[in-house]
Amino acid sequence: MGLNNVTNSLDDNITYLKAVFQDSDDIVWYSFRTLAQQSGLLLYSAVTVDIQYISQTVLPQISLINRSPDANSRNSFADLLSLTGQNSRDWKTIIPGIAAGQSLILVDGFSEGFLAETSDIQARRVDKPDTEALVRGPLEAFVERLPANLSLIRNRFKSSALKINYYTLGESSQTSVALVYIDQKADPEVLQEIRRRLTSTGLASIQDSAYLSEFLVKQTLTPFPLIQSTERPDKVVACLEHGQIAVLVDGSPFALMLPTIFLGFFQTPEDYYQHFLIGSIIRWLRLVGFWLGISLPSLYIAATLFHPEMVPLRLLFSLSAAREFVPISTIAEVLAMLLVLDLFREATLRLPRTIGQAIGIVGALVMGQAAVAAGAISPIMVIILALTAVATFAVPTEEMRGTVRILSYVLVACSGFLGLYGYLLGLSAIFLHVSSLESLGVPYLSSFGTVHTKEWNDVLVRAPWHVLKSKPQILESQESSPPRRK
Amino acid sequence: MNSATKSYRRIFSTIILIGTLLSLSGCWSSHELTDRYLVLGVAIDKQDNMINLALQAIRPEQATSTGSSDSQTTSAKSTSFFLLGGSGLTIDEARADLSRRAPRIVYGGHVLAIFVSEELAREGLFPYLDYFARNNLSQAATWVVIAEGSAQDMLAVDNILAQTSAMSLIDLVKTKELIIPSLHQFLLGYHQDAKSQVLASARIVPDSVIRADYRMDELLVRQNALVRDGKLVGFLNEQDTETYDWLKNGFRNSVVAIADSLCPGQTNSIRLKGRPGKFTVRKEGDSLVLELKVTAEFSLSEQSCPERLSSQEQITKFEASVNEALSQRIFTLVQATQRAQVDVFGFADSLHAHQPEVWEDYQDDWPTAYSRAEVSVTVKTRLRDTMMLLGNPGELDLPD
Repeated sequence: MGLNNVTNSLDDNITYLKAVFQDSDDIVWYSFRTLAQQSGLLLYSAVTVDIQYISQTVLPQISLINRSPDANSRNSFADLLSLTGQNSRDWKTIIPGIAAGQSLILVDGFSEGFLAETSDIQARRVDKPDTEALVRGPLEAFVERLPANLSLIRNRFKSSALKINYYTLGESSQTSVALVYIDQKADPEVLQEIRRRLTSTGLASIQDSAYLSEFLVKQTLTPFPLIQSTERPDKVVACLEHGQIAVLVDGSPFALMLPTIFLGFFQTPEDYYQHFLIGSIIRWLRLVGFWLGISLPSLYIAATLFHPEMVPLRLLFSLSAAREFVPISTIAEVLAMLLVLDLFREATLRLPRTIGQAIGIVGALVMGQAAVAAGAISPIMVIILALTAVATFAVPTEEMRGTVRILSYVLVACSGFLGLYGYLLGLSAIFLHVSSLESLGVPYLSSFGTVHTKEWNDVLVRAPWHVLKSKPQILESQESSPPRRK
Repeated sequence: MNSATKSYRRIFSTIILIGTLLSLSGCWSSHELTDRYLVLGVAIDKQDNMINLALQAIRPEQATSTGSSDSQTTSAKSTSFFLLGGSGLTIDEARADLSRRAPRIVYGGHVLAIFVSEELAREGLFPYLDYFARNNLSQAATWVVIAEGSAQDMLAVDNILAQTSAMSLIDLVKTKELIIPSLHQFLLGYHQDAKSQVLASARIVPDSVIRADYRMDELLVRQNALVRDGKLVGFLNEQDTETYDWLKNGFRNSVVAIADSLCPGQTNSIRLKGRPGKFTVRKEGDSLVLELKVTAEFSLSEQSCPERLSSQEQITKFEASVNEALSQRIFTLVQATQRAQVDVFGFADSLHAHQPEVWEDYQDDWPTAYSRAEVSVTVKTRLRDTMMLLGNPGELDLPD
């Protein structure tokens, strides 16, 4: 034991492999004899290979190997095989290769093995995006296989400027990770920094791209997402063209995009697929949804508890009458209902779709009607809650929706303590925090603080395509307007 | 500086910052809506040297009942408001007296109107409104209304549609374009040179036409209370009230009946549109001349005799008759205010602003000077519209 390389004794090699693959019942050991009467071994994992390909192509070839190892000839038999694959002497390459679906061919006397490409990993077919559905636009989404995902990207950007760098990360999972960018668009410094952070994670196993996201940004103690993730290849390519860099992980249907800015979370590919006026207005609508989602419950508290004079008279009657028989205080009511809303969201998320509908009915009937009829909560509160939920759902990215949920609790606490003044203090604190954030050197609020109308073309509004031909410069590596960096 | 000191400094300054931000605020008064009485109207009366303060508080569940529930039958007779009362030597004492008995917090952020009894208004409004000007029981936009009779009665009027009498004022202001001066406007007028203003007054008018069991008492609110130096000195009559409204607030499709210039003995109706009048004062010899200029346009909304206004001459004649009629009404109004020595148009302020040296001669006894001044009224009107589509409705068009 303790061999690093393949030896020229097949028996030694088999002994070593038997030890490595002890208790691995999926490994198939197939012994054969070559035309030169040497014994050989074909080894593969039955669950990751294409059996048909092995029996029809690999097996007929290996038995025809007709070369004896001698001092003069090249100590290899690989050139006799017309199979895709690679020679390898290093067990460290061979063992993960077998796990990944390659078949190892060893012949006695040769101190080198051949890893034939026979993998056939069971994978999902390219399907419609689940989390980023569109009405109008491409309907394909990433799957769990990295090569398939990269092919989707390559197919959408057939220029040699598109660069793909492979990394194998995770000591035990040996996960393939691809760094995708467009040459001359992506900032080389950012690229260098991402490479450095990717290779220094020290993770043993990587099961999804989300594992890496926390290592890629510096500030992790923030409710705001500093990395965008998407399952849409069209979005990835559009972002690459903006100078962003994508990280794809084998086994994850979500690509990471960075650096990113706050307003990037309010853009969807659909903005570009429909009329620019509609696209622009809907962008603003999403921002309003964000504000309403974080503010409505706290503004309700501020207005009813601290500043009823702000509320129109007739509405105040309704608010007052609705609360007349509610046994709990307004703040407790708001917090309880926010909690219930989050519980419902969490409950419906993981349930099978058929049962999920039942939860919807229970929610609408129990919370919406019975609770009000029983006088446990006020009907106005249900309206506020429903509006908050709808406003939150208008935020297009799941990461930002999570932020809205956290911030709404923070602002409820602020305005419950100090009314409108507290709400504004809380909002100011949030704004200060957001303006201090950076995503890989790019300020999170880029395009807010600058007066470059060219940048606003595609940030605050979606300008017509003939204007958009010149893309915003925020994330691009350009000498004229370099991104601010510490 | 080492890092420990740095971080201590940081923590210290954060604590100071948060402490300062918290102590700056005035928002510590958190009360549940159900712990408050929403007060909409305030009435101030006087009885045996004691001030009686009455508050009209809303019952939200009554005010918002849509009538779809079965509570409609049981609440048919119940009102959507109730009155709270207290008495004391001052308003504040009366409020304290009232608060002692009220189980909830009296909340005045939405007070719409303060009704002051006529008796108190003649005594002087300012001492009673001072409390409201500096306290949170009302807002600057709260209307001040002088009640003809008891102020409390004004709150007790049960208006089925508007729910409370204070809220019925909202409807009046909205639909009838009635101007009710607010507390803020009262204070402004109180400090002007003229020291005179016209406040709104309210009176309960029982409907004598309708059968007794269907009657609904209505508040008649008009801007007709002449106030000088914060004291009520009298009321304008019906016609003068209307004329004052035109002059001060402009013609807003105002209807006037005018003697017909074409058919003697007949009366026509016109509708006027125009900006408020211009008021200036000049000195002529030893006397002051008050100048009122009015420009307006009108349409002929009703004509009694079937005579066409077909020639320029006829139109000019008609316009002249309108000018004459309006001038007469304005003249009557100004004379009425002169008799009461109430400079409601702010001639004093105009004189002070434009001719300060002249003002110095008159500032000590302006009411007398105002009452003796000569009056010059100029009215210019123009016929814009005869409101006829094809021909005169009263004229038969026979084919030739």
